[in-house]
Amino acid sequence: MGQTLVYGVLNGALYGIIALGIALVFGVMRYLNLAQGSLIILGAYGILFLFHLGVDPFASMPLIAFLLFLLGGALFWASFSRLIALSEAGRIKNSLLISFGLMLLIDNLATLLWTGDERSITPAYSGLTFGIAGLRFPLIGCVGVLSALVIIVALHLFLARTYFGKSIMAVSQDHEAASLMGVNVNLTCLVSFAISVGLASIPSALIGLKSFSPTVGIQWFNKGVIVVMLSGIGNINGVFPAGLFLGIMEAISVYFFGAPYREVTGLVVFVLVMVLFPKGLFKRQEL
Amino acid sequence: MMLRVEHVDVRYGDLQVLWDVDLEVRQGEIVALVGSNGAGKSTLIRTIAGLVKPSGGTIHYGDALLNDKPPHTIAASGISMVPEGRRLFPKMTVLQNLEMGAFLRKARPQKETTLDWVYEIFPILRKRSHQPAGLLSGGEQQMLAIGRALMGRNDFLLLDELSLGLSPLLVKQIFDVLVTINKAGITLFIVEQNVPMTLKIANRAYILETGRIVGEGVARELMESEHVKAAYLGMA
Repeated sequence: MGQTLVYGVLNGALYGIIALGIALVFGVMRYLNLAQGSLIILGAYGILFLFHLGVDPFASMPLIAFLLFLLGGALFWASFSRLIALSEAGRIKNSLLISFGLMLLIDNLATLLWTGDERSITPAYSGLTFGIAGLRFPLIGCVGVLSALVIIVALHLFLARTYFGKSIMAVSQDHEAASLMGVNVNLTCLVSFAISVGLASIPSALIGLKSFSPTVGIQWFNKGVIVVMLSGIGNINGVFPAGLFLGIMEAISVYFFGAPYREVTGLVVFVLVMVLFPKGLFKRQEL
Repeated sequence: MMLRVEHVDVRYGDLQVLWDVDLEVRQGEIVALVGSNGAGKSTLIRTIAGLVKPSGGTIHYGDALLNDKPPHTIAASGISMVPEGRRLFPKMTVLQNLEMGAFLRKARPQKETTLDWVYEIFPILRKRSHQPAGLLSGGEQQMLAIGRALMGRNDFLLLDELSLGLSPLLVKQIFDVLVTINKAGITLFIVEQNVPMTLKIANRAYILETGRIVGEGVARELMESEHVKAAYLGMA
């Protein structure tokens, strides 16, 4: 049971960090970026490519993060930026359409470039584990949790302490009022979008070290979006604990019902939470 | 001349709401734009702030042409706005809202001094500084909206429908504050439905009816005019 929980926490941290990118864009702009999963997989191919050149996957993560950041900025500039003037409902619907197309484009491009075969990044340390108190901890998973925590704390500090971060929060609450304060709303949205795509680089490495193929992005996106809903929409701070919650619930279900029921349990938990706590598990009282 | 609006037309799609609007605001003045509901007052003030683009005419602030500038550039060039409905950041605390007001680069170094000044004008905001803005009363929210605009350290303030939804006592209190702010050297352009209150503190006023300026003059004299008395002051 203890060992099951370890895996639950490790998976949950991955869900949490996937959800963070989705939550940031949805919270600030009300864009639902369906292509986030595909961008994660695209990053994984980038890390794999560098790995074949002899670069360690964790070492290449910052470079991939930067490239994804630029790609995110370019995607926003080319397509998503036009939706800002729309109503909230219009932004959700149209961003779904654009990002769905983008997802098809990236998935097919990846198939074309790298075939549909399942890939995996396999550095020498990929199978290593260490033991504490009779439990086995996979090294890669633990590094993943640590990097997720570091990024979440860094993002929180950025949003809460810097002028630019505060302007992101202001735009998310009232973009017109923010513009009257002197905030360049278009630029703020572009940078938030680029950050969220850049954040995909962490799951890129973690998923890359498991296994991936061109079309699995949407499955990871699904996990992420479930975590965003569990956390409560607009609540970025609740995303990580919500990810852990989903990971642990899945792990417990594996322990009791066996692995085939893992996905089902995750979805049942999701539906139950939505019925019992429609505003999410960690949503603070709405003002 | 601080603000000069010349021959401005505004349309929303096929619907024209402002026709050939001319007005000017000189440094240090309190100028009011009065008119009934739907006359286009808010549209005009939103056009000056850059939230609505004019389809014709020019808007100058000093020597700068504002027509095509986005709102954040207009804010940086010296015009702040207290929008209709306060438009606070509801999940931020009072203090965080005020800090957002000091977002402009030139306002940042003076943030602490300006904050003290705003707290001096509205002592209640100091008491509420760590409460979320969304939990304040209507009057407190309006004070915070004014305070937030003052934090930008701009010399020109656009005020849109401050009195909406406030008790007469609070309206009086807030209009007294406007006079204080004006004495500190800030030029005010006020859009209001509360005509008597506004004409009492304004130097000059314009009357907007169905999208056109139909009258202008010294505020005190306008109060005496038969048209204003009949249409806005309820004196037949």
